[in-house]
Amino acid sequence: MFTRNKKDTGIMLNNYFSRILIFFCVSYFLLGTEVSGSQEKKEISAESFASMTVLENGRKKPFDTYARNKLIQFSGKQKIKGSSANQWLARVLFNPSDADLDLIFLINNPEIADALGITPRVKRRYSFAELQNAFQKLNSLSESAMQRDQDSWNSFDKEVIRVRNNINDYYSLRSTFSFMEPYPYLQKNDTTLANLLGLSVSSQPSYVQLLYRSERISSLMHEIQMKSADSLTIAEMSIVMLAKKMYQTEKTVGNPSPHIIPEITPDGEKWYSLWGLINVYHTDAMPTKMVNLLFTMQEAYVNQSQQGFDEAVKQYKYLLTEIFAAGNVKLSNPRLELVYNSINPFLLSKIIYGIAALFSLLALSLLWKRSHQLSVFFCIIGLILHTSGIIARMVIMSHPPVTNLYETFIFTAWVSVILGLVLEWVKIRPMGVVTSAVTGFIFLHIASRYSRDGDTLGMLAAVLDSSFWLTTHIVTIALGYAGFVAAGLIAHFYIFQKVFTKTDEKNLQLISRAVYGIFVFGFIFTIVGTVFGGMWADQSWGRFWGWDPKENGALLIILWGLIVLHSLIAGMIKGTGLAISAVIGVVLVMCTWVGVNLLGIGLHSYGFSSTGAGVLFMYIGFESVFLITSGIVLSIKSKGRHRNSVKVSI
Amino acid sequence: MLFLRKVIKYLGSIKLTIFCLAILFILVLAGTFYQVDFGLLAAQKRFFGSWGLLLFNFLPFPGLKTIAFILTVNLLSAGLHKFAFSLRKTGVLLIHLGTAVLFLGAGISSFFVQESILSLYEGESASFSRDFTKWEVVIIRGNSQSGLKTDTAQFSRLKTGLQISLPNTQVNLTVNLMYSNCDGLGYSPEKIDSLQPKPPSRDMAGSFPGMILTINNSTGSDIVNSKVTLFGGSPVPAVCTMGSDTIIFKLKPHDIKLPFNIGLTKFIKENHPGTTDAKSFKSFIKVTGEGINRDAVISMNRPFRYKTLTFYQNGFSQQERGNMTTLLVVENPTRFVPYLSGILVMLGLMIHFIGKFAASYKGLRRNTTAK
Repeated sequence: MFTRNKKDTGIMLNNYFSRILIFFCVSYFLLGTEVSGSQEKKEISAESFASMTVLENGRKKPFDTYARNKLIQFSGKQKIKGSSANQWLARVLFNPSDADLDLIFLINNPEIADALGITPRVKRRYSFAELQNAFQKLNSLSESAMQRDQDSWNSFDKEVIRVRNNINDYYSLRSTFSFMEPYPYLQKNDTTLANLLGLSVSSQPSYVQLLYRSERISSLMHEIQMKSADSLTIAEMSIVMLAKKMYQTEKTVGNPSPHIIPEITPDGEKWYSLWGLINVYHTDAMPTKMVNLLFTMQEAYVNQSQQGFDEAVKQYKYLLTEIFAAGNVKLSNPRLELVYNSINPFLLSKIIYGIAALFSLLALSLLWKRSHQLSVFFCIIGLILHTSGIIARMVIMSHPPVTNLYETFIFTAWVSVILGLVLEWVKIRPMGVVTSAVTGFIFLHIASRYSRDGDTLGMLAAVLDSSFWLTTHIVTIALGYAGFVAAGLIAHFYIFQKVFTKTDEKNLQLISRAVYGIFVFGFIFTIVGTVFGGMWADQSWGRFWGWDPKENGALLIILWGLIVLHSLIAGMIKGTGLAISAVIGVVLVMCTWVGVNLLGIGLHSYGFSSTGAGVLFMYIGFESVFLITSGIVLSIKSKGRHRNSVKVSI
Repeated sequence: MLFLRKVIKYLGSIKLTIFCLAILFILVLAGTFYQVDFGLLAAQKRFFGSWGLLLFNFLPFPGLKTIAFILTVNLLSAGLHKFAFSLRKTGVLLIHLGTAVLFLGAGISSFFVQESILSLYEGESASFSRDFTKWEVVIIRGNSQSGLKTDTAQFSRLKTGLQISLPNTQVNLTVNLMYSNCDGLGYSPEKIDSLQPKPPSRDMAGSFPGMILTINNSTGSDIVNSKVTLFGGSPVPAVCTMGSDTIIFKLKPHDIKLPFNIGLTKFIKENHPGTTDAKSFKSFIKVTGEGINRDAVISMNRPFRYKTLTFYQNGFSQQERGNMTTLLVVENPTRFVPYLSGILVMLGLMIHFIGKFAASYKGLRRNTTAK
């Protein structure tokens, strides 16, 4: 497997098996802590629970996805120490007192911990139990921020409000089965009341026990209302207080997440949480079978009965299928989404592109001959995973590959990787694989930042409900962006070579032609995409062009492309000018792509996000410094050449 | 002739093209940032619908109309001077032809495009839409014996201090105050107490103008209610009497007559399950008129078209009275121009650059093989 070549100083890996072995070893080493999770807590496995269906933000999804989204919302990660997201969520729902100790609430600003009177943690994550004691302070800090204008909020205020909202969401989750917990408004050992309602004296009754006696309570109230207030007994006064409390609970509880109990009506699907059912079914005429199965699940979990838990989950899923079949509504199989979640193809491919990038940079430096082949190999593996991720998303959501900002980065990364591999094919090496690996890694990394905004598999706004235009307009625009970005990246190498190394004219010419070719590719597709966008706007908004900021951004890119191409034709710029223009082109693309969304105005509202502002400005700063520095060095170099040629002529 | 050739050569020079494109770049950039604070309508008016402006309030700068005009002249001159037809240049010719078509079409359509709003409750119908960018003061006067006479004045042509004489009467009106956008205060079905000015709205249908008029009568007849406050946001007219005549004043958006009657039969909003986010919304309409009598459905991405008119789903509201749909009505006889231009440009790009890529690829393979 390993042979020592007399010419090379290093060890050479000369067959595919060794390469595959290295791939898996590296992947396992890098991903082992991400993908595998050991269960440190003593509890049953909630794996069967992962494929149960829940409705969130208009989409029916498996609990696994819901759990990951919730955990990302609270903690910024898809796993916590010792538990998968699904296992954690099961703990929160079925055994909340245990889950309250999990360190899941991310608080970035240590001043907040100080303000709440809790010890700041190095890893910045806190448990519900810790924060519960400080909730009053947290509430008052966030209330005082909310009373002020949103524009006056600083990062402390925004973080406080974010944490408070997360605590509220968590509280709603942990209260899902609080039906079953002792109802706090009823005292234990109240024998008279217990006898009146047929309850056990020794234990404090739960809300669900009271709910199943609501007819009895109603009839008692009816009798009490016939009497005067002075003649009421203590038991009767307790009934009145109890009824009042139950009424208040019903009014305030709403229909909090998670929505796990469906109802198919002629008006469409309706989904409820356990507490949400109270608002619909005031008496015990609830969908009892489903509710009882949920209670069985909870009981089995608490009693650590794996078989009981799995059986209850299985029956619940079967019941769900029956309900949807009877209502003639499609319930899709969550298996593909579960596989997609567990593999996380974009994280894997990002890491593989990163490895490819390292090898490709080695190839550039010519330190190791084989590094180029390895970088191409890893790029292709990454591309296969990347492609499978895109296809999986298309199948899960049944829509084209690009429908939101997150997907634009995923798709543009994919196109850039392919463009780089095309360059490899036409023997522009190793620039091609460098382009593939670096752009693939960077854009997937940017995409991963956007994934923290929530579920990336979201439902489409009404205006986007057109597969034809989603496929034509957005895909072509993404192709255009990919072209400009790839051209810009290669242009950096041109400038770097021209400025910092000995000038090799032939090599520079080759790179310049590659920059030109890919720049034009990006330009063509941006124009085509913009024209399609205009046609879509005519269908949707009543006009081909409306000077919307996103439209203006696309126009700026086209104008820049026109200026560059016409300048080339006029002879006003050549190789170096083209390279500098290509770099500016990337800046323009990023400003249109990310910067316009920061403005928060215009009809392209489905792309609005505040993520990325800092990174965008840093990037613009970096490119400005790069271009200015290169410009200064180039002009010094050319002055030096001119001086030398003058000396020679003298 | 030589002089003409020189002029055409200069007007068609590529450096002029580059210069104009650079100016256009700055204009679009500035106009985009301007929108953040002042809204799209204001940016359209200042940057994209003007011949010139003062950039940063001091630097004279050409507006979009000027640049578009120069670029069109540049393009046509270049066509006369450089673009002699040859098969090799087909792609380039098509690209530039498409661009010229776009500029000319945009220029022509700016005179003919008309946008207006039509809002209907379920069960309601109308045969006119309203242009909220053009307001008018309507004055109806007369009595049951002599009949009614109607005069209309465009709001944009009136100014504070202007005096207007109503034709064939001794009645004069003086415009005391005018606001392009305001709130009506002390609002009641009978009157409005006063007006409070506001900055112009960013939306087409968001600005409600107001004005205060004084009525003078040189004949000496008593005028009841000689000071009149008009507010665009109030559907109730202001009324005054002069002798036996009643004069009704109304400030309203300009009505555009439609060639048929359009009624809203039903409006349906479908939400994503468990949310209030719209998955789709549809207006079921009935269109009746000369040569047309049918039902149609208008939804996002599916407008209703009739000759040069198009009806788009613009918005909706769900009120106590019922569901109300808001349709955007666009009349644009040059609607096909951007499509034609787009097709020409895309075709030209494909032809030109596929040829170039093919030649470039051959050259590249030759070079790299030689290496």
